[in-house]
Amino acid sequence: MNRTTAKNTTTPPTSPPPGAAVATDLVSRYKPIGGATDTMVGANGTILPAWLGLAPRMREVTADDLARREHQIARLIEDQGVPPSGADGEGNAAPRRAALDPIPFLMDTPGFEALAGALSQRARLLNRLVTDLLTEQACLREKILPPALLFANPRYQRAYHGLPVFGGRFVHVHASDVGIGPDGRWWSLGDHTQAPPGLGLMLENRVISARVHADWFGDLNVSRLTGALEILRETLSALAPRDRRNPRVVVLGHDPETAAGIEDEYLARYLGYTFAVGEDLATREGQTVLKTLGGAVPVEVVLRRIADDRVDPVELSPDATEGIAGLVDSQRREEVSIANMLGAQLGEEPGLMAFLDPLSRFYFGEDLRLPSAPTWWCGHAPALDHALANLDKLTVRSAFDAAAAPVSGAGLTAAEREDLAARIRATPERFVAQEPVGLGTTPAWNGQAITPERWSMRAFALLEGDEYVPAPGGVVRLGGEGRETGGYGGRGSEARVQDCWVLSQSEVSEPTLQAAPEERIVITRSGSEMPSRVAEKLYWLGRRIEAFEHMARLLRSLLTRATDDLPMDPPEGQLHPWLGLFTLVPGAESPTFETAPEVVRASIGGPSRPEGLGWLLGESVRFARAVRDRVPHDAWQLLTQTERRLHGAPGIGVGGRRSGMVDVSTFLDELILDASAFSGLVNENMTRSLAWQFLDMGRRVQRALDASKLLGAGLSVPTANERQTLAVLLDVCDSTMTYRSRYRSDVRVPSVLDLLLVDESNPRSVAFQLSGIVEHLGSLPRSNVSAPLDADQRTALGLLDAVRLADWEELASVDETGSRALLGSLTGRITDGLPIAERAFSARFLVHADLPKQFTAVGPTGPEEGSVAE
Amino acid sequence: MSVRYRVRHITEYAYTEPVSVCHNMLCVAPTSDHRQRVESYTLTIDPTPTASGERQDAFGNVLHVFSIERAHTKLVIDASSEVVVDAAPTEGDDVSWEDVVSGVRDQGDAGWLAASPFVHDSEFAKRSDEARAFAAESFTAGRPIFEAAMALTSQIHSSFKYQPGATQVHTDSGEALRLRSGVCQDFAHVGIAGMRALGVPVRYVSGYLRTIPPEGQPRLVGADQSHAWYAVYCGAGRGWVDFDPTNDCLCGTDHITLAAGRDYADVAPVRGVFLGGGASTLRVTVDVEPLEGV
Repeated sequence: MNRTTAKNTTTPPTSPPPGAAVATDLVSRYKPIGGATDTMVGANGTILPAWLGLAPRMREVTADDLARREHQIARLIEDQGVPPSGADGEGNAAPRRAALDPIPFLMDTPGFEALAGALSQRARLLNRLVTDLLTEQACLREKILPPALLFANPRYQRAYHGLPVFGGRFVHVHASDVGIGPDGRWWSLGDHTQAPPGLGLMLENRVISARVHADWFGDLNVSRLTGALEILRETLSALAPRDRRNPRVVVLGHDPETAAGIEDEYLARYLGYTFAVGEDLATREGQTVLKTLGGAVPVEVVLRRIADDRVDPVELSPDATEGIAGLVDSQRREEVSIANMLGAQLGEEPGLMAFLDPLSRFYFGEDLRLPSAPTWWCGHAPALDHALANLDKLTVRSAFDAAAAPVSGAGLTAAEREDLAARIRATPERFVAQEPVGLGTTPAWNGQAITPERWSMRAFALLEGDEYVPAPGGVVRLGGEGRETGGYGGRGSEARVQDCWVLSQSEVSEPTLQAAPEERIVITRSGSEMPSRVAEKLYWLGRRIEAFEHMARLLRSLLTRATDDLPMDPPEGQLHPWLGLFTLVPGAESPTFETAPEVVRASIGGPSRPEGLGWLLGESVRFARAVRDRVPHDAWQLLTQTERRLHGAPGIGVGGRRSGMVDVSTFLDELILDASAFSGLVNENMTRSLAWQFLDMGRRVQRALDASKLLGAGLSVPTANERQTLAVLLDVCDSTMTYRSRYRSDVRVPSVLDLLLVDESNPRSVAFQLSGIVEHLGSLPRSNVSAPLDADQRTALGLLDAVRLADWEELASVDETGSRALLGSLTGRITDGLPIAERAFSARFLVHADLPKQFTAVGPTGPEEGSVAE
Repeated sequence: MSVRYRVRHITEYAYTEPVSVCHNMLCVAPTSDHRQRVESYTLTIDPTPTASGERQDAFGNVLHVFSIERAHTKLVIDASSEVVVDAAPTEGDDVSWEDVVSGVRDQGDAGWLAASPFVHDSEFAKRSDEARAFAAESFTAGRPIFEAAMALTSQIHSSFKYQPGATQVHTDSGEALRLRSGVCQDFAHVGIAGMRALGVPVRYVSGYLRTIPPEGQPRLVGADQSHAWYAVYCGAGRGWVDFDPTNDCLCGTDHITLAAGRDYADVAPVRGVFLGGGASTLRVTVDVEPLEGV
């Protein structure tokens, strides 16, 4: 699904909109908004230089073509694992990223250079300011900046002072949200100095737009972003406290299941660095290390994407348990370098914007070339008065938190405005008021035509040596003022963005033969190291996808029985042959023969029921998303497609008792095919690496568990007409054909047990799984090679031996209590033993430590004099 | 007159299961300041840390950062020092509190920069209308700041009930103000919140109090406790003056300063994280032994 569907503009673009003159093209129909600076059309109606190359081609483009490009973009975005904003999904909590408009944002070289110089100066200023605030504090002492802008910031930490600053810079990557006012001047609407969001989004947008618009991109001499990223790589290497030629750099990112985390991971992949979250890293003897399956390896540089005060619970925010205990100390010991440097977040306070002009003159004797949108810091009484008197015309923001949502005074009722004014008066130093700059417009696609939309751009400047070099590009955010400060890739983001193309006057030197020239991955030694967290996700992906397939097979088989078998009352005191298997279906409470089909249908829909079909698939997708660069791309796509199929399943769980049975069963067939195809893709396309081993191990464990439970539930208590039960068992274990080829229609308990439990040549048997588990456990890396078998290996071997030694005649025999106690105890031993092996195996490979706990201290209770000695 | 003390502050964590690794930051070293001189200081950590270091924070407090990266079931932090503490100041310029406030705010006071970190909200001491109204009872128009701060100290002492257990280590000024009870930490936070609401720079001070045994009884070793109060910026002439709202007094030779910050969070004696450990028990013993009058 794409944006057009969500906007309910699904009209096939082949028929022109009613009333449109067929003769005019998309460009001619474009009408700029009066009073706003437009990027394509000048004041006198002429096409501006930046658009001279693309406008003629755009005149030939049909709405149909643009819709096709938009669709292609949406598909490429979804391939990255994140549906674009606007993509619909009922109750689907998947992260979203901003949708990419099919029209690029164009700048010519002179236009870009005018911005670039000013942006570079601004980056230099903010770096200088942060440095000063954390060292000399000359700007405070000389009364250029009010001290409240440092000390009242709730995120200011004393630990930022006195740390060694590698390369002498706090800010290595700077971003500013910039826009053009009605007079054609550039303005900055805000800055980002801690870990500018959107860097990954800019790269991803470029890869997509270069691919989708290969025709335009190739002809227009679009400046490449690769050079800028090369600068970043070099800067990071130079920061390393040791091993500068090939340091291990990790990207410390957000939770990879969130949109921000997905963007961070993209950036890491693009740069060729290992992506890590806090739990992947630790400090050991003052060094910062990455926890991999092979052990802890030292890290020299951390490119952090998370907030300064969240990286270490020991010296920064005590509740930042997602951070790395001891990281600040490691930095202080000069064992690791952090970019941007801790404390850099001080540079992005909106409150500073009211003072950057005097600060620029103070530090450099220069006027600020990229001025800030007119800003009043309410901590100054005259500014407060101005802000309160003009609240209806101003936008109010936090003075300290650049990410906090701005409030436009114009959009408030009188009562709301009074309420806001009261909040400002209570703590005025925490607020700034900003004047809208009257943002310019740029052509954008609205689903039917190209129309002018207000825009702002997040532009990035990267440190190279002593200079800040702007990246020739940026993330252009469409929409009105005040939007630019929100997250560019945040959850539930409704943003729509454009890729900024800076057009070079000369031919761009890089070869443009590849479909996606930007997508170049540099292999570094750190790329191949697998953090334990990734192994864990792969293992659980294996378990969940197998459980999903098993559940689908079980439901299908039960459904077939319920529709094919004749209703029959079992003899007094005996159970119905297969109804007992419903105990394996979560939420299904022992149905009667009559209600069985309904129960099956009800258990298909809805992702909410734990262990249910929808839940298992949702979990599979969640784990796969977290490791999607480790599983075959087609397998990932298949999984998301299956999820869409399941969510879109029509009429499941409703309708008459017998009606629609065929449809449900066909639907289950499709799900099973998808799951099988996933396995096939994984087995045929994944190298036999650690990644595959963990995935396969998860599958083996789950299959052994499921098969054991199935045999236990189906056979440990004999039922009337057991042939029906046996048929279900063979069917669920996909072994009906094998059985027939061996025994024809002679279906009996001992021979079924042999095939499903003991036969190691049957890939569906319990013994086959256990043997695979033993093999995997034996080949994984071990820290102590000479040690005897590990606990997980011993447990798994014990289970395998028990199954190998089992006598199926004995297992099949019914004892004096009327049950197959031996079979029950063997399957029970497996279902109990595998979780034990799993815990041992997790401790060995996956979980390096449990959750960190905070030290509690006793607060001073403060004796009243004389009270203690009582 | 000054008094010399030997102070011993032992923090002991015992765990039911081994802790595999811990990372800590300590604030248990007394610092020399306007009221006292630290003559010696030793810190012993058992087990011996894998890595450790000492530094001063931006407010001048001494912090220790260390990690223990091998299994242990007990952690003992033993800090001892000898400190000479001066008597309470008796004289100084009588500046009105409003002059101190505007002097710092308008950057005319000679000490405005050093006082600036202590006029804003902090985690446990937040300005509020209630806190302002409470403090304003003592901070009447034109009153000399020293007198106003002393009056507020008495006001807290008389209107709050000293009641261990009524509050937690993480109780903030707003809650303590509602409860009208608590311990020294709460009293200090309430006073800080109230004075900051009026614009007065004030900092939280952690330390120890000499306990005087009842007539005829020997001093009990290790029976002392950590204490907390506040120091009010009384203008450049008088500087920081320490008041103890728990005991309604000016801090003199009975009060030994450990560290100063914006509130308790800045000077918590032990912070950090650990892995494993099961259930833990914490024991703190403080011994304040007066050696001689100097």
